[in-house]
Amino acid sequence: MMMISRREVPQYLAIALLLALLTAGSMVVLDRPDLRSTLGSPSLLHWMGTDDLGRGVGTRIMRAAALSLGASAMAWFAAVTIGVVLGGYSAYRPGSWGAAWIRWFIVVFYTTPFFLVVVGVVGALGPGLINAYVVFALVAWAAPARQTAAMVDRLRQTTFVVATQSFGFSPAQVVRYALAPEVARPVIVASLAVLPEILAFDAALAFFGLGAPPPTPTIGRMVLEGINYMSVAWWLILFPVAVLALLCLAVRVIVQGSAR
Amino acid sequence: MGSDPGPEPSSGPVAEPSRLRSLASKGARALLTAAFLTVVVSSFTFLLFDLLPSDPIRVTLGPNATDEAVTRLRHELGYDRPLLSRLGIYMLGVARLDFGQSLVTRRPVVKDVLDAYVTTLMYVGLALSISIVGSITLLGLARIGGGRLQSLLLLLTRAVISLPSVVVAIGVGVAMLAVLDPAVSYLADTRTAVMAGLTLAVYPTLSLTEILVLEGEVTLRLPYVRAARSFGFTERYIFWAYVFRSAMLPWLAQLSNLAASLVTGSILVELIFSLSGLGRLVLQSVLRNDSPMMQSVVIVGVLTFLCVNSLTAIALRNLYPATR
Repeated sequence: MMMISRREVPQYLAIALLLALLTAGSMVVLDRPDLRSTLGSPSLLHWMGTDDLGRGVGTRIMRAAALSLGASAMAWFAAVTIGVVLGGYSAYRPGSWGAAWIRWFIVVFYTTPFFLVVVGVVGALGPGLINAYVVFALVAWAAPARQTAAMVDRLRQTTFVVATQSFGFSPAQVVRYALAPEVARPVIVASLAVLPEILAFDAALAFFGLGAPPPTPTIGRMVLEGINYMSVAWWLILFPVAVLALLCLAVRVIVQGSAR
Repeated sequence: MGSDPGPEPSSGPVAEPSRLRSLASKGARALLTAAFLTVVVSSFTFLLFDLLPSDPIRVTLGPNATDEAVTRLRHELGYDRPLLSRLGIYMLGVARLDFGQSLVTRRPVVKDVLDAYVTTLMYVGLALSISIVGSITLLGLARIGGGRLQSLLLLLTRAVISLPSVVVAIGVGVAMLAVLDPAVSYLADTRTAVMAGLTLAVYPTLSLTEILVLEGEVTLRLPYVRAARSFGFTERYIFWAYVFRSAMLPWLAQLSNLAASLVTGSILVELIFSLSGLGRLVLQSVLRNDSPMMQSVVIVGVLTFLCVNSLTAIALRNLYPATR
């Protein structure tokens, strides 16, 4: 049986929490609007209170968190895949066609605050979860690309890579057996650190009204609505903010655990 | 703390003609770079918005507009010209600081953008100053308070900055609204701006403090600090004259890293505190699909960001020649 050391406990707790949220959030049944029970404070039936349309806040938060987690993970995966492929290519074949262009794009995308651009583009394309994440993946690939390029640059001249090449392995085999095992872990760990930022970014977009359209619950819109009712219904603002913070913290704990 | 009893450098740099000339050429190069960047950023943004599969004219006129009306307005605003000619016209306008007219108000966007920009700059500048002064003050407190206070401070900083800056801004902003005054409309503009600045400052202040404290700890163990001790300098003098100076290097680098999060954070903070800065303008133009307005906000934002970045790069290069 695998032993879990005491240091790893928070990490596994965080993983369990996220998995539980994902399953609960996708299985939970959302309330229909019920105008007889609007703005109800937390009770046994609705343990996070109800919102301005009488829907339970707890179930909505769980669904929102699950949606956000799933979509963020997919956007992250897409961004890392694009980044590793492009960054690796530009560094492994520096003189080849397009490599210089890729390098240039990496610098441009890496140094520009793309939140504004993303907001503008998503606004023009129309709000929606898919649009937001496609645009996000298209700008977030630069960080992993930069890191992969830097690592491959360094590795390309090391003896074991040169030896593999001189044995007559094909470029694909060199990548598969010499480069990929060295590059994969640091790049994945480093880019995992961006995941909380993606979650926050998702909340920010929804805050802007650019997330999934209502009635789909999003944490960002719940926060925005909570601000409007802050003086009469504290639960509308407290729980979304707390859950958002908890989500980001849980991801951070996992990232730090895997970096050790 | 503030007084620095360190010895003055023996010979100050004297401005010689050659030095002046190199300074002038550096200035000219910086101006050229700025102009080049403006051209690149503006045309990139223009093309980006132009290539999007959405028709701003149709959106402006609404779903019930006739094809004829759409064609007429498109012609009126010059949207029926070929792409390159429109890009040329746009860039000529940018050279005259004319970023086109809003599709909604039909007024030039420059004035609205500038007004909003000033508002945003005010509290972002406030936030930046608070984080600069705050981080150094917290470091000073940690030095005076000793080990226990320092570890407490580090614990607090780590807990807060392990969250994304946006989440911190939302949390602090909401808490501040709840504690100070929920009825935002009663607040005077300045008070709201100060609250926004404070909210925005929390994350950068703590993040900068952490860097100063940790870097200070590392530097205190280096041989040259031990040498200084053996020469009989006081602990306080060693820290502020030598250790602090070397800790400023990662501090400055982090300051420039934080610029991006300030841009994002400012948009959120504006929504929370109902300020009419760039963030609100972006939101309005996004919701009304006012693409000229969006374009100019994006251009202004990106250029500001690049400006801040190159300023910190210049500061780093001049303060720490080794980073050149």
